[in-house]
Amino acid sequence: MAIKQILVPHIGDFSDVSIIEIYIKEGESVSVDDSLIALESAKAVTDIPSPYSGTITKVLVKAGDLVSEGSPIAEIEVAAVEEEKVEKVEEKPVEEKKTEEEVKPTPPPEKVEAVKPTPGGPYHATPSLRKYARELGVDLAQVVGTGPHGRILHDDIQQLVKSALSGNFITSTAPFKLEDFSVYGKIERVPLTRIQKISGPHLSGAWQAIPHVTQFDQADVTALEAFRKANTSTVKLSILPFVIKILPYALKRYPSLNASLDEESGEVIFKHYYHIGVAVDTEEGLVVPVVKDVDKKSVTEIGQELIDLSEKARSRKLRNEDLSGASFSVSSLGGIGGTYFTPIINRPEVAILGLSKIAKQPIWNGETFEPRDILPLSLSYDHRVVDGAVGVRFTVYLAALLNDLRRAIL
Amino acid sequence: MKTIERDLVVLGGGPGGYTAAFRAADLGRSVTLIEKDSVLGGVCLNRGCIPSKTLLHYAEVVEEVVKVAPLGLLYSAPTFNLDKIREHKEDVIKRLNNGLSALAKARNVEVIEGFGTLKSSNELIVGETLIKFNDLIISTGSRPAQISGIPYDDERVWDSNDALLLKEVPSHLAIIGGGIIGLEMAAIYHALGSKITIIEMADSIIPSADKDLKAPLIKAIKDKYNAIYTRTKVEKLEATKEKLILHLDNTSQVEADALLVAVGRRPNSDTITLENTAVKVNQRGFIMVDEELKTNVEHIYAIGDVTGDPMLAHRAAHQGKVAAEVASGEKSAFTPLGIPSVAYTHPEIAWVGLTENEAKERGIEYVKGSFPWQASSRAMSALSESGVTKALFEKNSKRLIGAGITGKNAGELISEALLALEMGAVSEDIALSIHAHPTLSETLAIAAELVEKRATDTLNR
Repeated sequence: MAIKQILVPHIGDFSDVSIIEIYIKEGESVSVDDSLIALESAKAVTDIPSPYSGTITKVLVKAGDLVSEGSPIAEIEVAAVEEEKVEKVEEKPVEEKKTEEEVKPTPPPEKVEAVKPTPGGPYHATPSLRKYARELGVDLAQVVGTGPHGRILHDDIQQLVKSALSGNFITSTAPFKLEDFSVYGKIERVPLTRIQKISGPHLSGAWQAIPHVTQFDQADVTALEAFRKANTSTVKLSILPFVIKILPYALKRYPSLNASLDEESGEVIFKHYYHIGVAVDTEEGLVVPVVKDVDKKSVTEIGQELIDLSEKARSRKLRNEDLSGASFSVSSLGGIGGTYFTPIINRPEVAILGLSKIAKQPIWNGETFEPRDILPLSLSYDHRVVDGAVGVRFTVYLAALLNDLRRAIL
Repeated sequence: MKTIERDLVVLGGGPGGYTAAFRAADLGRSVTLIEKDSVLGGVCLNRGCIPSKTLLHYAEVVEEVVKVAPLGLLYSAPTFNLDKIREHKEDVIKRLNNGLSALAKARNVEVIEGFGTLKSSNELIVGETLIKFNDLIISTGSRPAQISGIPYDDERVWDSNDALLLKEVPSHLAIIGGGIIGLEMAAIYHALGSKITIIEMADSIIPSADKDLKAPLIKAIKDKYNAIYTRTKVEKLEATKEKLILHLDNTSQVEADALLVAVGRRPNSDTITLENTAVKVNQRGFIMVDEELKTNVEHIYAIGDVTGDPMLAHRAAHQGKVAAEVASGEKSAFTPLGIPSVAYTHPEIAWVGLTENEAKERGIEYVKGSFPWQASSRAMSALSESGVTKALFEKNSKRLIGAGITGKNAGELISEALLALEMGAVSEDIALSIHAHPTLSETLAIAAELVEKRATDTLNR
């Protein structure tokens, strides 16, 4: 009779796995392969079998303990007949290691493996298309074949690459499999609008490709608001044309926000023009017409242009030139409400400013709380081009300009 | 010892090696090809496929003559001039050797004659020369495997190399191994007049082929040959002055005048001091490679027989191209759907893609169309009714997953199935393609029609 310790065997690449159940008690007899404890790994519950037959003399763990490979579980008094077997069981891992070593030398054919259809496999591509896919690094298993009998065509591979390049991974590869919602209640299917269909891939592409950081800030616009309300005689002016007018001053000071990134050459393209895209909500969806050269226009002119562009957008009369050339964009949700949000950058621009609803806030002026008009600012920027410090300096400076326009001419 | 520096070195000038060398040269690499023989072409050209097919042609002519004899075309019994036959065989080989040598020269491929052994992962030794290389493609091929208890130094004991030398025609040739090589040699020597006895260890001859494909061949040779023993081993070989006496484990005895040992081939990975490199081989001695034909050493590639089954020249050649392309910076990989196997027996047996056994093993559900050649008018007119064409299609997609053909010219006919397989043809594609009538090739279309239940040349059971 010999007392042996039972250790946690190799359980995959996990460590510190918690024990969720203990099946054994001291004094209990177990046979080989009887479950001793249950472990909760990342994906599943695994029972650990006993390597020996015998009587448990001591349980060394309790439920909730964290264990890894080699942690002792229990002590067992092994039945004499079993000792030979014990040796064998202990030898086994060594054998396994040996085979592992022998198998290892083959370099894993990771990438190309996927390009390999098999007779009777789930998809088919001809030899020339297998070569084409290999050249482009396309995993054929990801391609939806549109040819007869689901054959993968040249166009199918091209389509996947094109949409991948435009960042449209989600819609082109595997569409998310939906369950049947009608089992839960009544449902209705409505197609996406034309604009949604176009802007969707663009938005998800930008969202996936650009490392977004959104800097929140607030501007005290009490004085600006007073000025605005006093000067809206000819054109009805919201805060938006004022912000657009002020933006070039801040963008000139922090030019990396009025730029684009050339990913191919690794260069930043600084733009010495200030065309501001303005997100406009229409029945069909979101469009972003562009107010050109805002640094050369008056607030009234900008305000009038915004009214014209919005009108055109809603009556679907925007021309291509109305929609192109923006160097920076603004999304204003202030007319509706909300405090802060995280706007998505309008690629290939590197920043977008979100404006929310101006609200009266009690602000400490050094002696007392004073009601002030506070405009929430949400600046999303491309962190590959804009540093965090620059981002916050920009919003601080912009807030200062909005607080007192005279700073612009300092 | 002289030291030279070379760019891409190919070790072994067989079909894989010279193809790799030529392709790499065409892609702009400076290529050195090391070959132990004085000529290029390796086993296939010099001691394998080409000489055996050249000799098998004689056998085929003899077969044909025998067939037409009762049908009104009578020749006198053939006499063989072995010297002339040998000369013709050598001439075919020589012309092809010369062709290869001219192609190598035209491509500026440097050919070094000698046996190359590895000194390190970057150096080879050939005779008195140390060759430092940037990249290496190992294509050292395979050699006939040997089994124990056989007196190999006895002149009457042959391997396939000896058999193809055609030194004499033994009155009784025993063959250990009922695989493709053994059966092809049996066909040659039977035509030349030898009595044939085949001893195969497995359940059946050509173990890897489907049973129904082998049936016409077995039927054809069963009575012609002295005996075909399956599930049988040679327990003892007794070499007397007059005879080789084989004691089989089924208590039978075979008295033969020559013995051909054709029990498979083993990779030439153990003769090139591969242990001086980090290149790994598996338990069977095959060099392990990935789909780019790379070994575990980044700049060393291996192709052909030395990398595993099926040990076929066309596999080696395609791998050679891939290795040359990958070594030249191209994105290439060896990902065939099918590699055809052909036994040039009478009748021929050829198959490609999955066999029925393989499909079952992989759990692939399939439908089968099988058309016996007795119903083929072309087969009848060509006195080749002994045959069958079979096509396997995945059950749901109806895509071709494999095909097998037994009969005259099966090795040529299988190519259509190969193309259909690689192109992803479904049964309807093949059935609806108008095949010429009467031809042997239309049997594949009829096999597909049977799956579609629209065959008219036979009943759609």
